[in-house]
Amino acid sequence: MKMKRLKTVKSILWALVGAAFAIAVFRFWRGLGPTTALTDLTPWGFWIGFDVMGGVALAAGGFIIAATVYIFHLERYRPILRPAVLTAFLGYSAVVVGLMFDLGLPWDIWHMIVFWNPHSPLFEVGWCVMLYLTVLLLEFLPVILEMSKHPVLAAVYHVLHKFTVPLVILGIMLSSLHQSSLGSLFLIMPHRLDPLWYTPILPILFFVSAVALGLMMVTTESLFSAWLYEEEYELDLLQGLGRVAAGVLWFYLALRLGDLAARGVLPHVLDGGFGPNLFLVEILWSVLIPATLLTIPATRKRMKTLAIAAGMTVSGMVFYRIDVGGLAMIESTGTRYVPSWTELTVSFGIVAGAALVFFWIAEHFHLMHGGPMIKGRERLPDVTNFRPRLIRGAVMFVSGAALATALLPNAAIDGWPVVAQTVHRPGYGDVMILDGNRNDKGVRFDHKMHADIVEGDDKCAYCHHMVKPGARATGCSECHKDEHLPTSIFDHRLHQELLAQGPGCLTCHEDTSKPKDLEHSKPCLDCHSSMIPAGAAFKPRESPNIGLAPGYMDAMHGLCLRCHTEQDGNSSTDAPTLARCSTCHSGVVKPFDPLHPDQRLAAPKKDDAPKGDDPKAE
Amino acid sequence: MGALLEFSSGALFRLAIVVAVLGVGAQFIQNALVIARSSGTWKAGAGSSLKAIGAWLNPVARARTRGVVGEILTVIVLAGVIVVPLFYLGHARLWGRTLFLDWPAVPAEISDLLTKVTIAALAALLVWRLADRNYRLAMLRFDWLPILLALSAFVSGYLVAHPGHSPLSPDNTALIHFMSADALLLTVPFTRLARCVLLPSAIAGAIQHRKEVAA
Repeated sequence: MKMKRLKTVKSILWALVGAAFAIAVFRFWRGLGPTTALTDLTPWGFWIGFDVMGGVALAAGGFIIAATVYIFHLERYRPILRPAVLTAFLGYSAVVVGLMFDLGLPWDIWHMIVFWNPHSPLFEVGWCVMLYLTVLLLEFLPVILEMSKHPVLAAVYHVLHKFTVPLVILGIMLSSLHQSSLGSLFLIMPHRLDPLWYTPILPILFFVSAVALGLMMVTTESLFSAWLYEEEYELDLLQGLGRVAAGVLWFYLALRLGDLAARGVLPHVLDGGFGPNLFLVEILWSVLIPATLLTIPATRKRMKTLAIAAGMTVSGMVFYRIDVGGLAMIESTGTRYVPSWTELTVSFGIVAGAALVFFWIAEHFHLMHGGPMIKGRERLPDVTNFRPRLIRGAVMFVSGAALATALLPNAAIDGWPVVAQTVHRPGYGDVMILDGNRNDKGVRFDHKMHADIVEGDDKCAYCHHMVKPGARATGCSECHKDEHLPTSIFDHRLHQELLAQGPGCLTCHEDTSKPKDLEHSKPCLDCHSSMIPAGAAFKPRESPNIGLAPGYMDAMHGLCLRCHTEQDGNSSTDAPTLARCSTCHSGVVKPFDPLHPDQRLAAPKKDDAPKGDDPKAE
Repeated sequence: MGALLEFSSGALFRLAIVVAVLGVGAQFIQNALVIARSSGTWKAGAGSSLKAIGAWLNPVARARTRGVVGEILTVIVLAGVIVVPLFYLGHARLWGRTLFLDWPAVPAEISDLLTKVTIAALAALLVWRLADRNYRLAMLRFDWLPILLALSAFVSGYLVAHPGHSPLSPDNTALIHFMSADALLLTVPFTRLARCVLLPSAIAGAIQHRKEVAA
């Protein structure tokens, strides 16, 4: 029966999407813990290994075929360009969706746009995914827009069409960066990752394997589409990709084995045990067998063997990434992580969703533009039986969702219960010594006083809330923030109350025509003549308008450290002198300006010092 | 009874509730898409579907075409089918505990009264439809199932709440209640009820079609 394969495959895909949808509801409602097998020791599981690591690599076909056509001008590969770019776009979209599932706080994903951490490989990965996804969208958008008759969309199409080559170059650059930076992520784990996988050239290995994987992914996608839509296989075209992939695979093998030999790890390959056996299976599956099949012209030109080689390369290279992302860490961490069926279903559901979008675009747009398959592909979409297709999809979606919900463990439905914590009185009575940063310098903490000050039934939770992972108690600075902030030492309300019986506001704001601010108010010393003790070393030349005092941290730490650092080695001032207030408060630096409380923190310049005020001159 | 209570919110219940909710949702989307496809615009599809549902929800308009008695009985049944299961105190406690929510509930006296009224209305509706030749012709055998299942669920539910009146053991009564309620939920997207809600013209068309066939 015509299109029977397509119907069956789409039905399975809809069921997977439905099941993933149902699990997604509970994952975001109840959290990662009860819905996955992930733990604090194994926070990166199948979603990172398969969806992110594998998904990015599967999308590598986009930039490789784009480079082949636009940069190397191998025009005969143009018919597979659009499907390759679409596969890349959908692959990256699947990566983003998969990542959303894996992030503890997915709603904070925008943080990386605002809060930059350029030292983090994950920062680069995030930005590359974001930028490359945008570039892929712009690269693929003409396929959608070329059918639009709307004048604005037509104009956008022309602009995008003009910028195709710059976009392709940008895409190649970003994708190359990203493929390799995925490998860089694991460079920070030398003691966690098995030595057979950990190497300083991980970024290079990730990039080279992505090239082979990308070529074979395009081959797999093309063969699968032709099988599904009962079309002719583009063997002439695809065997050319296979020949190139064979070369890349052998180069990759040489790199891996050469690296092992150079690091002296090669003999361990034959040690037996979980790690070495996993390595051998991976190399055999991902490189040796497919590279051999692709090197021999007779097998490369046959559809079945080409499909086997492509399938093995694709699954094998995804396997490599899963190994690096988790399996090769099992022995060092001692964990026994086995992905739960919910994780697997979500991953396959995301891929199924991407595949359904691919089929929909293939059936409604000129995906095989300009190629020999365009005639057949245009004829294929059969939209006359729309309602039965819709019903079939809906039934499969609902069935998948219902079955997944029914099979979910009770913990995933109910969530993890709140565990009651036993509360003990402080072990050393009401007052204790806290050494928060373990530097053997504790502070006296009056627990009873704090317990008395805070009111309410849940006052213990005010400090002992434990909302953060691993938190046992709130840090002092969570509440005592004012020590870090400039503090107003002028209490306006108090002055208002005290002066209400007398002249009121006019006491300080003498000229009513002027703004009632610090600058136009009576100086404090006019009333508070005894504010500065008679023997004080620092005597301001003018009466100060004291408003804001620097915070405790700035006053103590900032002042000392800054001056000591900047004046270090200056013979005119040495450390002991700097520790005395009068060294600075003697007219060498500018008088304290409450509007610019940090001004004094800047190092005093000798040239700025008014003549006659130089302490040395005295 | 503890195991039975666990069963009541277990795999079968979850399967049934997802089929009911997503099934009705899928029916709505499907009909909206089909209308959109035939009328040429997406806006028309969603608009027509919503308009038709709005018209179906208007009891006055329905009473004009289907008779006042039948319409009153239908409204009582629908109100009972929605209010009693959702806001019955026992259900509220069970779901509230499972979902960690403060599920609202109506007082036991009111839910008892509503249950009795719904049972009476369901029985009357069944008799009324059996007596009406047009309905008998329009309804398929499968279409009687929701009414019978609803009757079974409500009667057994009342007996679960008042075990002294039940001729069966509390466990058996509860099992019948859970099974008939789950079966009712499972039938929702596949029965005329869903089609009436989502495609109101379907029932009128079906009656007309059956009349023609019978003639």
